Amino acid sequence: MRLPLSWLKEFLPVTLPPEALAERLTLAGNEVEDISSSSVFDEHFLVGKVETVKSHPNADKLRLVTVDLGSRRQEIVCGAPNVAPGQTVAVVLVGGTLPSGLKIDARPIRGVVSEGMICAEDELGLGKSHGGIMILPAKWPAGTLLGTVYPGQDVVLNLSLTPQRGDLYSVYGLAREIAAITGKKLKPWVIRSAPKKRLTNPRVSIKAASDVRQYALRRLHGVEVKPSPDWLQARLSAAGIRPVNVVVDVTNYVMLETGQPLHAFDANRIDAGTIIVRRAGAQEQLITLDGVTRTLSSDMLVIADARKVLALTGLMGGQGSGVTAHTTDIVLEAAEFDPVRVRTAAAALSLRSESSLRFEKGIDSALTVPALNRAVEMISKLAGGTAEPGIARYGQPRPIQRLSTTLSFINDRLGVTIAPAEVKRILAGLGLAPKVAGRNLTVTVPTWRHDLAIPEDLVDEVGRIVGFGTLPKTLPDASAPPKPPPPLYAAEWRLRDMCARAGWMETLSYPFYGRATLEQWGMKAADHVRLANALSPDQEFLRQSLLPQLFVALEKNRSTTTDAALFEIGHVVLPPWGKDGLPTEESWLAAVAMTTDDAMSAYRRVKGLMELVVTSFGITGVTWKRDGDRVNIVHGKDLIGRAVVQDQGAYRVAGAEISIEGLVDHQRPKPFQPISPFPTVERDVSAWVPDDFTYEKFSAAAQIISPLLRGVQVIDIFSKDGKLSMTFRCELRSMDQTLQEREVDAVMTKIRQSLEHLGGQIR
Amino acid sequence: MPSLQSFSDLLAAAHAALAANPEQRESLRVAYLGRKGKLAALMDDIRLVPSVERRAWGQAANETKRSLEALFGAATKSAFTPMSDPSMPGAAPTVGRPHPISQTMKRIADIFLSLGYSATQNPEVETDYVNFEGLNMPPHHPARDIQDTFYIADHPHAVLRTHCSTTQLRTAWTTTPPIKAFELGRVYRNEATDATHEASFFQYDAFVVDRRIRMSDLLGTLQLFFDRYFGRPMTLRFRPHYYPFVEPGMDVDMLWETNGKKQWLEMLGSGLIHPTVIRNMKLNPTQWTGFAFGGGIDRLMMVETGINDIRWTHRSDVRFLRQF
Repeated sequence: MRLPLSWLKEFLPVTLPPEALAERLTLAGNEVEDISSSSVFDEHFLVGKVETVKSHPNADKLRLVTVDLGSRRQEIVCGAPNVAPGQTVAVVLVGGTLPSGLKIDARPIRGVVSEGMICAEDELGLGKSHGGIMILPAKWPAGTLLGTVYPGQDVVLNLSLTPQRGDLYSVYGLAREIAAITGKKLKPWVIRSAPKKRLTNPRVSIKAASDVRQYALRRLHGVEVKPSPDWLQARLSAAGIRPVNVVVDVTNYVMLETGQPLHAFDANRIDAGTIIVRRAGAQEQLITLDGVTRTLSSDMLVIADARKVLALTGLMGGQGSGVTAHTTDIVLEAAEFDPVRVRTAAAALSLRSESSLRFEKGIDSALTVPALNRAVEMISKLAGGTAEPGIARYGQPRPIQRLSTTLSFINDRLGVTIAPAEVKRILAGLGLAPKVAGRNLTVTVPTWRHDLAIPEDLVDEVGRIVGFGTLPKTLPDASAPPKPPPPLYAAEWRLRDMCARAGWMETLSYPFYGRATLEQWGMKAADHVRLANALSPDQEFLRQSLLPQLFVALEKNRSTTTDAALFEIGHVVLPPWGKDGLPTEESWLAAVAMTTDDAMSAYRRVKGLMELVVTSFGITGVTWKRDGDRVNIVHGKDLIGRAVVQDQGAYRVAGAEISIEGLVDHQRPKPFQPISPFPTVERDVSAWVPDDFTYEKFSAAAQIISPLLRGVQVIDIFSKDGKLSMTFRCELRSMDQTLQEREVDAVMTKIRQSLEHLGGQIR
Repeated sequence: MPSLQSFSDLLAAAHAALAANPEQRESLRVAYLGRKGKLAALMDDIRLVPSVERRAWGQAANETKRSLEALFGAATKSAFTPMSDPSMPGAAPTVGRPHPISQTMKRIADIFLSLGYSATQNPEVETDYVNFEGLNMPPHHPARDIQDTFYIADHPHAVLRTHCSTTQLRTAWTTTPPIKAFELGRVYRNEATDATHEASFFQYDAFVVDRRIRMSDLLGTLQLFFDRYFGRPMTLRFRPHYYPFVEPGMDVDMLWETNGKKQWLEMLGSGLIHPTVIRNMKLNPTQWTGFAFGGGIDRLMMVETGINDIRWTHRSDVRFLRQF
């Protein structure tokens, strides 16, 4: 909401500088995003007259436009579909800077140099429309400074308002809020004329009573549709609304002032006997004012005459019934619709307008009819015309609600004692008419406040006007006993530290992937939990494995490093769906590494990390079993993880992942292992091994050779002439004595025999 | 045959050499006293000395040795090997690190744990009720617009959680009050990614439920939280703001200086838990009250480190990860 201070001052004496006012508003919960002058146009911004429009030699959608700028002509490339000879337009020349900060350079567009730009209203900061270039009133001569058309004496506060305060989407509502904050006196909003008679043409027929609280029409004839006076145009522009003609401008002006949206129909373009408010028929269509054909549905509310739909209630009028330059008689409408009805239609049609915004948030029920009368009054004054003395009217403003609490409730919730007189002053300033009787406090909820329903709302009102920052700072004396952390909480932190200490770098990847990825990995899309509204097809499925994304992550690092090693801890999501209405969610650890060495080195690297992890949880008896082109990590009958290796040209990439639940479930205490005071003897043995040789077979055989053999490691693998050689380092140790040479030799002999038994040939 | 005079000559030469080049004490010491030094060479001649003179000769040799040692000082041959080029770069260790998000989470968790809050962990795929409706955001509530949501196909009541505030209901359902709890985790928003927006990012959420919780308790806790996190007193600003799940609600801004320029940074949303939410916790709002606050872990990380683009979080770039 843009608030021109000149307009505010009509209702309230404002003595604070704009910056201080903005600060006070912000600290009361009404954030001022920026403060601007309503005009920012320097000598680079001129009024131009379009002379010729030719097609661009190299682009179908672009035009070459010659513009008369008074003292000279310029050729400008323009992409707007609505540019036509004779138009009066706003031109920014090379060297000018748009309100957005964009500087205009002389750069070729598809081979033709543009000497400037013809602006749309959003580019000039005058509105939100980017539907085409902005057309100015023809009265402005070519070469006029745009700053003359839109003079900039006014300071405008740009507010980012919260959705529950619909009452602040109006100048008068903001004036009331500022009065409460600053303690200044608000001038009443006066409307003199209020017709008592009933208007019979048109009549109002409400066919959807639950969607409409109030509906009112008035009629004027002999209106001259012309541009609004400059002051009115300037004020609308400052507030961010594009001036159109005096009738439309007045409806917008009154809407900005009161928050009550209004709509004007051309009385001669509608069947004005009866105006009907009803639900749309299924597939019923309407061309709205923006020229778009909208297909409606039966949960949308429309205004219709006996023959056709005239407007989408609360959203936008129809093109066929709107005010044009030829209009003489108008029917003016003001209404109060069900906010949810407007909101769902706006969402379904992706159509938001200044009026839908206000209806959705709730308007001031008491102002619907006065705002209508105000608009009639202004139109008769500014556009001539005679108002019919009657009003067609349905419904009543919503009844006044009361809300009761106690002063101590407010003080208890805030944690401070505020004097009763101060509480009363604050609430009175907000128009809540507080009454204090003993310890009880009762307020009247005004028709413009849709957000006050419970005593806590009054705590908020008092607190925000006092300023939350002025409250003392205390700590809760909560005696809540701390609970032990969830089972995976400690495990995840422990794994994170362990992997990092082992030299692996933690990363985070997006928890979703696309169909192509999961199919590449041999998974099925149908087994996956899928997003209904993914940002893109490659983020459609919730991951069941952390590895695909980690492989991509490694690949991205290839240009800067050759041996990256990454790990991730994250959730996977998979069926089945539980009784709680949610799928199964598990926490997994995954690690990936790449190397220029062989596949086995890559595999052993990730396996080494996983073995460290498994051992640290005191888990023994984990086996790594080949399953086609993958490896399963198995504990007993449970599959607790998997590993894969991929050949990627110059690189071998290996990844392994393991279920953290699996680790926690199988976790065992890891007792201290006694350490021998006697030295360890190491002996290496090398052998050519046959194709069916596995480390597992050898280590199983070695285990029963001698208790002195404490470990066998593979320290070298190579192949030559099609034969594979392995070197094993055997660790021998006794808990009781220093080993004798002959004891060592005896064990090593058995080891060599065991290797030979497995088909090995000692080197 | 060498004479005893040779020893006094050697000593005199050593004195003269040291006087001329006092800075070469160590190399002169080696030249005279070293294993292949001049004294050693002289002493080698002992085999040429007649046996009767050897005793006197040996005495002279020992005296000369002591004098030379006194002259050059004790052997400075240390236990260590002198380095020829100490400026040579170190061999970088292979170091892994937790992701900066994890590091930030750990610091947040440590603060909450030290204040007696219990850690919680809840699902990322959440029911519409726990994520929205139970938190006072019924269908068609305008606040749902602010949190663009990922919905699960074929399961219209399941969403990817848009905030960690889901812990409030889930924890309250399984805990007898009073409660002090916090959650750290991944959340999702269906919005196009740019320097300040991510489809998935990380949040913390902390809340207290007890008999008489006041706004002042929230303010004090927030001040403590930020002071502890940054390790110094921070300046905070409390700005009223609407969130459906609290009443009153407010945003918290923190004064932060970058390049000499101070500005208010929005850090989190907070408030007293709305009585409807207390009721949805299956507690009686006339007896139980509470406060809650939640903010972006990414935000804390970015503010403190100066990371200028939230997308670094998911880029898996080792050059980035290595910096923290």
